[in-house]
Amino acid sequence: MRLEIDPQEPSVSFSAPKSVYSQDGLRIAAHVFATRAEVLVAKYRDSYAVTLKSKRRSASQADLEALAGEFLNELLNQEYRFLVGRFNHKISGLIVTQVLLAARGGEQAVKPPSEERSAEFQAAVAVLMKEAEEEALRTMPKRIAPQGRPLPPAPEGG
Amino acid sequence: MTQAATRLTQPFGVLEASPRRVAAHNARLLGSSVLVTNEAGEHSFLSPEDYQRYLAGGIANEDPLAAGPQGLIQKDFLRDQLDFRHLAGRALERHLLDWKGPNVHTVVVTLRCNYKCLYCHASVVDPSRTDRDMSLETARKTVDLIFQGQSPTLMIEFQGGEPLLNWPAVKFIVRYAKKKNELQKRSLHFGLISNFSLLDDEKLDWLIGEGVSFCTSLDGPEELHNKNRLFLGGNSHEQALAGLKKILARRSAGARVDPPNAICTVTRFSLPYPREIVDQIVGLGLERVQVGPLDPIGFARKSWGRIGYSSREFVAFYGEVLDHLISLNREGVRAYEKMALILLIRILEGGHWRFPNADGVCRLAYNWDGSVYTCEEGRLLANEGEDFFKIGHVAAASFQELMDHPTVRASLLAQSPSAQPQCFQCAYNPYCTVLPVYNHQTQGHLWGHMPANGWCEKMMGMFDLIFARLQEPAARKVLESWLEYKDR
Repeated sequence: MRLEIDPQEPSVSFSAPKSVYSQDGLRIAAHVFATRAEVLVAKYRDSYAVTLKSKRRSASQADLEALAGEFLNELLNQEYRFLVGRFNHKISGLIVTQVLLAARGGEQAVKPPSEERSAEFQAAVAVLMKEAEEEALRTMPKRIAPQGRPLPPAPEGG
Repeated sequence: MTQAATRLTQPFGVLEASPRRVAAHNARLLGSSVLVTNEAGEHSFLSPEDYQRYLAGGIANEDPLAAGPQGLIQKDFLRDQLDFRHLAGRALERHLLDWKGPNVHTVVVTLRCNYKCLYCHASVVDPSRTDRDMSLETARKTVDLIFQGQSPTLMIEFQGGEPLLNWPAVKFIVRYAKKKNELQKRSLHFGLISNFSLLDDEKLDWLIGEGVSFCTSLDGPEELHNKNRLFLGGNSHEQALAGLKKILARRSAGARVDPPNAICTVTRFSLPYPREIVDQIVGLGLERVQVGPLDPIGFARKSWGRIGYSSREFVAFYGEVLDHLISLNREGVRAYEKMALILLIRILEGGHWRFPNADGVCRLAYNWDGSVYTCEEGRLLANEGEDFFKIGHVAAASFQELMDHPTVRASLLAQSPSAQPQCFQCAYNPYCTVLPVYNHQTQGHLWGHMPANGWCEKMMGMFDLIFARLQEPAARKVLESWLEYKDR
């Protein structure tokens, strides 16, 4: 593949044939590379013109070649994923749906036992809470905010 | 056909196969054998000549390779002999089709820690910062949410920070979960992951009395351990050993407590010491050795240049750990490696361990503030400002809403080998797991890019090691004996 390198930008450009690469693949690869390069894509009849503008201002020629190579690998990875995904989507969809349905406990939410709403149970839980609160007050370090609340800002010079 | 530890998953290219006799399978050349595996999780070693014969449909039902309990028929490699009942049972288990939802719940009761470990994933805060403690109200809602799931087994793991710094929350969660369980009758377990520096006798006795199991980090000999794990108030190695010995002493005295786990987190500094690390753990009388690779996730990513290593370096280290353990076993010492055990269960029994590893549907993590994540690693990312794996909050979401979250579905799809390039044709696919968080952090998206993926390279290397040893009768005997530990 022919790479056009502009060391001033710094950027690297190449052409990706439509017979191999899809717009969706390009979008995902561009997203994956978002932290490393600005990805500019122009659409022509048989191909996409891709320019990667490196976010590293000091990128060398070798860096730009590597960037293009890695982008093309990612592009291939995405195309291959689409291919595999299309081939297996029925079985994967069935498996994932069944796993999620089983994991959530069926279509309807399962209610907790009614005894948990009884006064007796609630009173027992209140005792547990109270004992824990007392233990926290007794054992936790002093001069700090109560649990779950943010500390006030430290005084200047303090 | 020769192949030396290739990353290619279709090393033989596209081959002609008899459509009547050859069932769907993947293959890998290991040494002088061809390893074949299938969707049922079965495996078989064939010579290259027999593999060619198999592909050509030249193995008759009466052939010694096909017949018998270890034959290709029994293992569903011959298409016109498939046992669909067996295949369906395996599919049900392997793909978690009747899995009752998350059973491992990691609860971070505080971000505070009195250690400053080099690799600490947890992005901890100073021990004085109680504003990073889980409140009792959040703790209560966390337990309520955990019990909304339908799993008959629940494991609540306390993590931090150092969880003992928020002792009231630990104690409350145990007591409240047990109170709820009086009505719900689940198989309820608790685990404490601690550096043991705050484990005094009172806490230890209480935890043992409540049936809590213990786990700590033991990174190797003193110098190595202390280099990795900086204790603000002393010698972290001494603290870990003291805690382990105290628990073992209670056990010897008849207390009903599981043997403590000592996990070695492998940093660059550990790589020269595989034998010493094993010997220390085994020397304490512990049978479980666990060498956990460091991943460039969360805080560890920041210090990766100093403490990280390549997947190949880890695999070489792991090979030495495995071989040393096999030698020790042959000398009569009983000990096993935990990751190897998990993989062996999948390889030799075709199923999974009691804690399968699928983010969101098998495990969940709860942060100190009540945020819920698909897994502990997802929570670690959140500490670094990346909230992608957050799927709800204990005060606002129902369990069903968590399971319906798009990130859970996307993570599950990304973990499905049938939707993963390279994985779907990998011989290790029936036994492997994909880590969406790792992919997201290191390669920018859930699916990752397996040919350049460090996790994939590490897993392939570990499978190569294990399958190579399964071909050696003496080593195989030892590895098979490790299955006895699966229910302990």
